[in-house]
Amino acid sequence: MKTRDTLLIVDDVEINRGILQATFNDQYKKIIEAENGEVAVAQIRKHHEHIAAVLLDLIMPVMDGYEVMEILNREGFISEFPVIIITADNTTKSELQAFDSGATDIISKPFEPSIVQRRVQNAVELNLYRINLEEMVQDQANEIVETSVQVIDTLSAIIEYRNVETGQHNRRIRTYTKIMLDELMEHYPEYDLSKSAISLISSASVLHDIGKIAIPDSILNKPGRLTTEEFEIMKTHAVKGSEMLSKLKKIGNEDYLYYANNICKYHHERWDGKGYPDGLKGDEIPVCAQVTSIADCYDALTNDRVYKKAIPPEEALKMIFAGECGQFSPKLMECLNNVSGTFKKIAVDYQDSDGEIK
Amino acid sequence: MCDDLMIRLKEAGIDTDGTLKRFAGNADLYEKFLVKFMDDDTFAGIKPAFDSNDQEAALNTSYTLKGVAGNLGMTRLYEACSNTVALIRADEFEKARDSYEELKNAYEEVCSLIR
Repeated sequence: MKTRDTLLIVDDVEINRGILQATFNDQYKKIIEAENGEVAVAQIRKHHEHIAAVLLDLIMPVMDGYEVMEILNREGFISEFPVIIITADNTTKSELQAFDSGATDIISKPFEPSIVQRRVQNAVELNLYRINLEEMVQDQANEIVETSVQVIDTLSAIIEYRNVETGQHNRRIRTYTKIMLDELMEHYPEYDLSKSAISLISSASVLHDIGKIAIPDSILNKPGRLTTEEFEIMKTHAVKGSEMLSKLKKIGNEDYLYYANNICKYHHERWDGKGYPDGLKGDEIPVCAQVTSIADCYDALTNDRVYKKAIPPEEALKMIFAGECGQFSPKLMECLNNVSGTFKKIAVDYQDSDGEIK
Repeated sequence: MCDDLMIRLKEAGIDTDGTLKRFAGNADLYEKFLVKFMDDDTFAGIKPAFDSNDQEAALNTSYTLKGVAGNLGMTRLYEACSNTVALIRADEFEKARDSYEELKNAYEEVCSLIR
């Protein structure tokens, strides 16, 4: 924190400045003066980081005190240090106007020096205390964000280690999701997507299978077809993932967790209502889950899985459009078609080390 | 020399005790500013403002003089200025013009004391 040791005295009359200077000489190492508002604003722009308080007269030539306050408000300086109005104008109306413009205190001329000293000192100390608190709160908020990012990174890493699917899988899902959402935002404003939402959704998309941590290895990594019973257990990963995330509620970014939760829970829903866990239909399914779902599907088709070999991108697209790999919104399929060239490139660039994409 | 001035001012009803406190007890500084007061041209701006019926200028100059007079303990002048300011604010410009006489007398009295 910069030291705030400078007092700025603004008054057009030299005698008044001199009296204030004499009053505060012992308390402040540096006292600067301005003979009108314009000079004061220039001084403030230059020295604002060191200013402890401003003593401001209201009626001055060139630029008056009210105009100075307006500029301090507009340029955000008003929250940096207290401004104490020193005025011979002691009507209630003008005092209220000064308070409304953001003044910390108002002192009438002629003033009692020892009282002015205390009042200015109180304002300065209170302000320093506030700045200090704000900095502490900001530091802690940063720390919390940092912690939650780490927790979520750790979670994603756990899935990577646990699952036979690789880190490249996460990277691809994130990228596919982002590209699809960008495309969707461009053509379908009804989804109300923003750049910041897209960024949150695409980074949350890597958590879609986090619930698989709770699925036994024997089922998760079983080569070949699952039995009906095993498949039922496998299906629980959607709800389990959402339950795990609900425990993170207190530490994470609220919007991020909201998307992550929807993605975990609903990425196996189908457009025709025949998916799980809730059998949601059409746009009842949150769009973040719809997009992650189509991205996951494309990725599963174009890569080796324990139960199948990789399929070339063109063929994978045909299968998705033919409804052989789930049911998706026509709008999403149109977007997928638009970006299929980019998808193919990603499938190749970020392929699993032993994958074979042609 | 300095003490002599202080006594004269005090006898004439000027709040020297209160003002000295404002100058952190520094009588030399007080005297220096009294001299500066003589050079200050705020007073000189009041009459032309009335003569040209410039209400805003009349208000600003008498207001400024009010602040200085108050800070220097010139009670009579301070009160005269306050009166003028209040009359202009109340839109009683003619009465304010009449009040200038007392303001001028108070100013001249203070100047004669300092001289």
